[in-house]
Amino acid sequence: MSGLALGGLGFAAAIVMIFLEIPVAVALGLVGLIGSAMIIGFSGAEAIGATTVWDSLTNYTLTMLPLFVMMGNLAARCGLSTKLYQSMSVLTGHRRGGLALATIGASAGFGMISGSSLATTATMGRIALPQMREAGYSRSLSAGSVAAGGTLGILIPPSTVLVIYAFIAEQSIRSLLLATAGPIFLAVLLYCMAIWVPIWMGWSSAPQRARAGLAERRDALRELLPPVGIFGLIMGGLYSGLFTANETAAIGAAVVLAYGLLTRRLSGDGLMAAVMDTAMTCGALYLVLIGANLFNFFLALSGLPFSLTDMFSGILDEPLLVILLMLAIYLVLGTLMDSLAMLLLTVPLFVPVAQAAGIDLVWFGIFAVTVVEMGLITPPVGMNLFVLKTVSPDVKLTELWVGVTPFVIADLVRVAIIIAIPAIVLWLPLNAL
Amino acid sequence: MTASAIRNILSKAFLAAAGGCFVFGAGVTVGDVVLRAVAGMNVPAAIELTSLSIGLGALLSMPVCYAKATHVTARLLSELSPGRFSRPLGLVGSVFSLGFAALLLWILARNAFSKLGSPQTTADLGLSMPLALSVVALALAAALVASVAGLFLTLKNGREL
Repeated sequence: MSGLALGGLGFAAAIVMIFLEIPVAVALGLVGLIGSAMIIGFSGAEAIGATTVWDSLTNYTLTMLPLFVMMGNLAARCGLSTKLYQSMSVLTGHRRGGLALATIGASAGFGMISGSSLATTATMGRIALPQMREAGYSRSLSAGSVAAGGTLGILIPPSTVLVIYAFIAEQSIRSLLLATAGPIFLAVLLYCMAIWVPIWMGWSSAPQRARAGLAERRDALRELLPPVGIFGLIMGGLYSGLFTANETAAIGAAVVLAYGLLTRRLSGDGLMAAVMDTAMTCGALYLVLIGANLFNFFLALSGLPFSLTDMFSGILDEPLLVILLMLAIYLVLGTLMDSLAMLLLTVPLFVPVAQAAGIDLVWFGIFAVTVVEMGLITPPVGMNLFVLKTVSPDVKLTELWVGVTPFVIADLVRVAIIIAIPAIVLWLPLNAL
Repeated sequence: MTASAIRNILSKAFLAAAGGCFVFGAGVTVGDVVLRAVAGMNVPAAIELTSLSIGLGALLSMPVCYAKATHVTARLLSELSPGRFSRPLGLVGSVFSLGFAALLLWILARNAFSKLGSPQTTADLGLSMPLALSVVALALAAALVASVAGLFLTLKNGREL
């Protein structure tokens, strides 16, 4: 069998294995090792395996991954994510759709911490859905804002998915993190519209609550300072060039730790739990990286990425067409798998094509993460919708579809804007100090 | 002491050791930044020290990941129909995980064995490479044992462990 046929077969096998719920790391790693052995022999695959494991474990760039995860876990143990939702409900609850806005904001904050859209949707579904229902919000708006909010956090620094993209696509993580600023601003603006427009049109109900007292609002604002400060520290440190991305991650973790200890919000048990949660998450993430590296090596050996670039050769001078084709593939894959799995499978294949089409790979990273997340809420079978259905079985799927439609439209508009105006993504990394 | 209590203690010990490595790595990086700002100096071999400590942390946390089946998994079918798919797919996942753990151990153990007696050292700290590779192989051996435990637990309890 030719290398190319093996590459295609391996790719299909990885998709089937992931669909059959075999862990992503295991599926990619086994296909990578066995596929490489079939092309270059077992001793060659053994050498690749040994080098890949050692390189993945000792890669300096990847050290920021556990440090960002630790920062998030410490923030969660300090109660920052819960406080975020409470504060935002106090500040925006008196406006029409205010609780839905608070849900979007808190989901983004929680997503930053958890690094998983599915986990964010499940958690925020339990916290925010009952509150919105109690306040008289329509079920579709409540469910839609939880499902969509879960997709935002992945783009917000510290984004573990972007760190992994940077590692696989060999791009600057600093540039990628800085590139998120414009799209995040755009996403928040468009999600606000996705909440308000159906309310203005009378399609969703979102009653206003009584305005909170001045003291309560002041307290809520004070509670918002730490998460905003931490975000500012990360972006400021990266933009000014004062710290490298790795140093930013370590300092971020140290600052949250100091905040938790000084304000007594972090007990000894909380610290221990945060550190152990970090270890648990990172064991899984490093296994994924090892598996993805083995899979990448196999794909490169098979020549599949180069053949794909050849296949695209007729349209490489029309980057827009290439982008639209990739968008369609991501939306279809979003019905089958998680964002990380999708990126790990597609980045080794799509990056050479994007490069050949003259597409900036920092821009492509932001585009890929955005559309991968969009796939998770695209009806009829986005995965976030099923997670929400599991958390809240009484919500009908049709209500979920109606609820997420304005957010999917908002996402499509966002993607169209970043395609039309790439500077929204690239201006900050190109002009950083 | 019951098997469950022993498993719990071992998991906590691995996770605490892994977490300690991450905290140490963060401490080295923060120390390096502070030293650079205050005295214009660097922590000697800071980059390698950080990389190795965090790599060791990741390695030590892998056995727990296998034992508790906390891998990154795209669960669509078992979310759609937990009763029908959760247990059989959990078993399939555990069997394949065991195979992967065994394959990685085989590869790394052979690699470590082939390097025994080599004078090779790490670039900055000068640590013995055969020793470092042996540590990796030992941790992967623990991961293999943990994946056997993971399979056993999935057989016994289903996916929710």
